[in-house]
Amino acid sequence: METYPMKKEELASLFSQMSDFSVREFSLGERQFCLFFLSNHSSKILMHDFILDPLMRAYEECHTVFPPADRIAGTSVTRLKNVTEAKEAVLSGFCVLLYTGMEEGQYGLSVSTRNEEGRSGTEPETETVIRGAHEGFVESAEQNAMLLRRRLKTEKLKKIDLTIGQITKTAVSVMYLEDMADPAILSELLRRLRGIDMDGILDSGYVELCIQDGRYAVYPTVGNSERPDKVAGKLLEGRIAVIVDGSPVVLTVPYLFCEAIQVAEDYSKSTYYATFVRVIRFIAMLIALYLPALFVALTVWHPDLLPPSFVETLTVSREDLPFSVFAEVLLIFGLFEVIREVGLRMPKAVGSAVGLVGSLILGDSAVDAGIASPTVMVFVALAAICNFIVPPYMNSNVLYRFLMIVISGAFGLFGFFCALSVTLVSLCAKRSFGVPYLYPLAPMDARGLADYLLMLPVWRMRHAPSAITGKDIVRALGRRRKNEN
Amino acid sequence: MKIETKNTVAPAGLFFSVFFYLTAGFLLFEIKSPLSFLACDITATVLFLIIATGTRSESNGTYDFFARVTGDGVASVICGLLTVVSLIAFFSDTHILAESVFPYYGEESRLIFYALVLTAAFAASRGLSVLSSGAQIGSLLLVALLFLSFFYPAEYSAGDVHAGAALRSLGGAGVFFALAAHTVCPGDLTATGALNARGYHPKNRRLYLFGLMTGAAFAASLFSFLIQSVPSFGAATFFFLIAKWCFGLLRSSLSLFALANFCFYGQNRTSRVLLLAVLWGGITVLGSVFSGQLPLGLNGLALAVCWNLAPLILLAVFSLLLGEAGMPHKKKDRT
Repeated sequence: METYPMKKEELASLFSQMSDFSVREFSLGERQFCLFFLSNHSSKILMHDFILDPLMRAYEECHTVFPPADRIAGTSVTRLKNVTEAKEAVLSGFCVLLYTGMEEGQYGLSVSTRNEEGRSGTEPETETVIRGAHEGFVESAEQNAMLLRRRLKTEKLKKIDLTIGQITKTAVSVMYLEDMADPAILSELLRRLRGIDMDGILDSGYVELCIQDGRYAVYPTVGNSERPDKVAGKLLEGRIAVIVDGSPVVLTVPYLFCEAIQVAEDYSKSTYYATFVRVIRFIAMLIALYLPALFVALTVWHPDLLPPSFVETLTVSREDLPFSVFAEVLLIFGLFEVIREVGLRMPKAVGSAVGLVGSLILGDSAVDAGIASPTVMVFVALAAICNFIVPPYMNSNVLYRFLMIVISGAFGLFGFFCALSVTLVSLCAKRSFGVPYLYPLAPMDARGLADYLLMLPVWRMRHAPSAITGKDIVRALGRRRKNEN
Repeated sequence: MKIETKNTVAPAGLFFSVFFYLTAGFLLFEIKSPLSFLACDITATVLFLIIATGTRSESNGTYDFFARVTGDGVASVICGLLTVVSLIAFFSDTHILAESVFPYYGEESRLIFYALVLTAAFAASRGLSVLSSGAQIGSLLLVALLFLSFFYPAEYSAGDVHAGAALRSLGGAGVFFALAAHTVCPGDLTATGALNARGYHPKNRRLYLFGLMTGAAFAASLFSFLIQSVPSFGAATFFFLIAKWCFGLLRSSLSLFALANFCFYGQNRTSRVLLLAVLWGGITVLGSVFSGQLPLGLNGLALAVCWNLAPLILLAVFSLLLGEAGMPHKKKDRT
């Protein structure tokens, strides 16, 4: 049987060479106490309020032997059975209390004193809205779970906790609505999460890459958001959220292609305008992807398919230019990506200045210097701007666009067509946790199309997407008539 | 999880697959007469005969199905006939498709033909559910074409009779059978929860499939009738070109899938490679004959081998890809 000094030494030895590991010993009468915790990870105020102060008061009142476990004021007090549990508790930010005269079979007590201080939930910069909640997730997983619970006040909102990362031991929570989420998707997600064998999980991006369908997929099959209202909406559709401690970005699965053109604000707008902007987004994405490639294919290989006046204008604007259209488009896109990357990495104030200088002055100078033609600049700029309209695919689209330009430049319209066909086939074959990636377009689902390019009012979206939930769930009966209760 | 096999087709997929298969035929073979309805009628008759045989939702091969209904001997004959029909249809479609590309690229016809064959093989290897999904995405292009057609109203003319078109639609019997055989309707035993949840539950399955397929055939005919009057100018030409190529490739892929489904299901690897070698030989010889480049007779065996080196390499890729098409879905174990 382990004695108090043995336990104390054993636990302290596990945290050797850790400057933030603290041990506080004190005595109350004949009883000795020892408190183990990590500085800053545990709140000193909570330790005082929950442990030290109640014990002192109890001693002052009784002056005799008293059961410490009954006197501790914390909301979560757990009896530990062995040193491993004690170690896990300390690492999680809890306080471990050892004392003499502890009951048999018991190692110590863990008290929840975790320091939950962090930044407040400000509006995420990447997903701003004019109308809607101006609140975002934060780095604390507990707080993020609370933000979701605040929106979904039901006992059906379930939470499963996991620990991933051999060294970082990152807390990962899986949240879903029981009866809405497909159990098959849930078990597949848990299988993939439990299968992660890495030293460190420092951000939700690590988890995203580990659980996505296809190890080297270009297009994402796991969604992410910093907005609690958006994630709550996805949970209501039967999706499952993955919260990673330390990251303000919450993952959602399954993730489908159509989600890229859906914005949280659409549901608060007039259905006509929402439909209009969704169609605009879709067309803009097509322009971003295919306009430069088509431009290269048609101008280089098939000028006879273009209007003669346009060909004439292009020929005039490209007189005396040193590069071919193909090389020019690649060059300008390359430059654009460099400027974009510099703008992202620099501090905000400098970044915007770099973007301005890069886009206006460099572009204008390139035309004046006879390096690029204004016609090509217009096409490239249009495609580049359109790419920002669907942020989830922004990076993937850049790579795909380059590939399409190269193929179109090398093989013309036929090359473009073959690459497009292979892309479509690949997208049709793609799955996100077993759900077809292009759902509800392919396989076509009339009910699912109510929230795709054409958007019905929210009160008409009566059914949850069946491919995600795996069943027919009526989630709204619409507006009640006057004579209905 | 939602779609257990890679060859499962939902009713909407069946409709669009038949629709685009026939539309591609109308576009590729330039059938502009409203009498193309005739072709549809014959198609409908074929469909009726197929469905009347009692097609049920099957995830296994066609041979198994016929073997159960008619016995092994007859099943072999039927599968053999369907294979030949599909092979001819595939070759004919791809050849015409390649010919529509030639004018833009000069004389390199063989390369374009092989590129199309490989692309079709890649598409077919992904399974019938992917092909039917591709057909459903084609509806986006359909909208653009219909939009153009509004500006140029079609004129009715009871002109020439396209007997050739009618015969060509017979070539699609294999494809129609493969599609009908792999369609899973809501209420079927093999239907997933998602499909049961979202679809109309038919009381009479045969009638439902028949209605879907004939509806698609007539819709295709109507569509081609609507767009026939759109003149050739910049944007329209481009759209039509892309539509013709995309739908044509889908048609070729469907033929190829049907071919693979009739031949390769349940066969071992050696049999598959042997069968493929025979099929590929048939395709290259037919291709050479049609394009007037029969290498063996003209240049001798050595030259023929050199000339066909690229096709031989392609044969390996083709075998690997097409061999997958007839295979049941293998769930990848991912950790």
